Amino acid sequence: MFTPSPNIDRVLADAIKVDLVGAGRTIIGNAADVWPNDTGHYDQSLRVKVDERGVVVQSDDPAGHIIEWGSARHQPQAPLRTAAAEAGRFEPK
Amino acid sequence: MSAELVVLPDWLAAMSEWLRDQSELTDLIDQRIYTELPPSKTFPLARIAHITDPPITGPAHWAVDATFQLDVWGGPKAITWTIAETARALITQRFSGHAWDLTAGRVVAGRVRAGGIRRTTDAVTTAGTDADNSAETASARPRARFDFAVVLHP
Repeated sequence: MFTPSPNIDRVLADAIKVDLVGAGRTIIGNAADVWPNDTGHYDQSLRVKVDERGVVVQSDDPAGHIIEWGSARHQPQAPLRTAAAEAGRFEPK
Repeated sequence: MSAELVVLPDWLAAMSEWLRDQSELTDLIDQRIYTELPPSKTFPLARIAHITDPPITGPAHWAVDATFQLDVWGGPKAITWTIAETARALITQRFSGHAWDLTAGRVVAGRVRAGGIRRTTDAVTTAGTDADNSAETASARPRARFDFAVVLHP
C-alpha cells in the first residue's frame, strides 16, 4: 500500500515548478498584449517569481494595481487575469 | 446550406440586469448597480465589470468561461461588506445552475467560482452624495471587491 510522505505537498510543488514557471512566462507575454501602452513600462514591470508564495506572476508597476483592479475613476483593465484566463482555467481567489 | 449564426449575449448587460433584479440587493443599494460609474454619484453604489470570456467549446461557438469583477463603494465601511457579500451569495447560490430569460438575452449559468472579498479604502477622494443623509462630500471611499468566474451559454 502506498503511503505518501508527510511532505508530499512540497514534493509535488517542486515537481511542477518548472512547468508553472513556463506557464507564468506565457501569462506575462499575453498580459503585455492585453494592456496597450506607449512607454512599455508596464510590459517591463511583469515578472515571474518563485518565492514562499510559490510560482507567482506580478507587476512591479506603481500603477499596476489600478491597471489590474481599477478604481472609482478607472475601469479594471485586468491584463494579468485576462492573460491567465486565456492561458487556461482561471480560478478567482 | 447556411447554418444559423450563433451570437452570444452581452454577458455584462445580462449580469448587471440580473443583479438589479435581486430584491436582497436593491433593498441595500436601490438600482445603483452600474457598468460605468455615473458622473454624479450617490453612495453606496456598485460597479460590475466584465474581464474576459474565453470560449470553452472549441469550434462550436456556444459556451464561455467568463470572469467578472464586482466593486462596491460606501460608506459606511460595513455596508460595503454587506452589499458585496450579498451579491456574492446571490451569484453563487441563486444565479449558478439556472437559466435566466433577461432583456439582454437568455443566459444559462453553470458553476460559479467566486474569489475572496478584498476590503480597502481608495487612495483618492471621490465626490458624491451619501444616500442616507443627502450630504455632498469628497472623501476616500471604503471599497469591497471580489471577482468571480462562471460558465455561460445562451
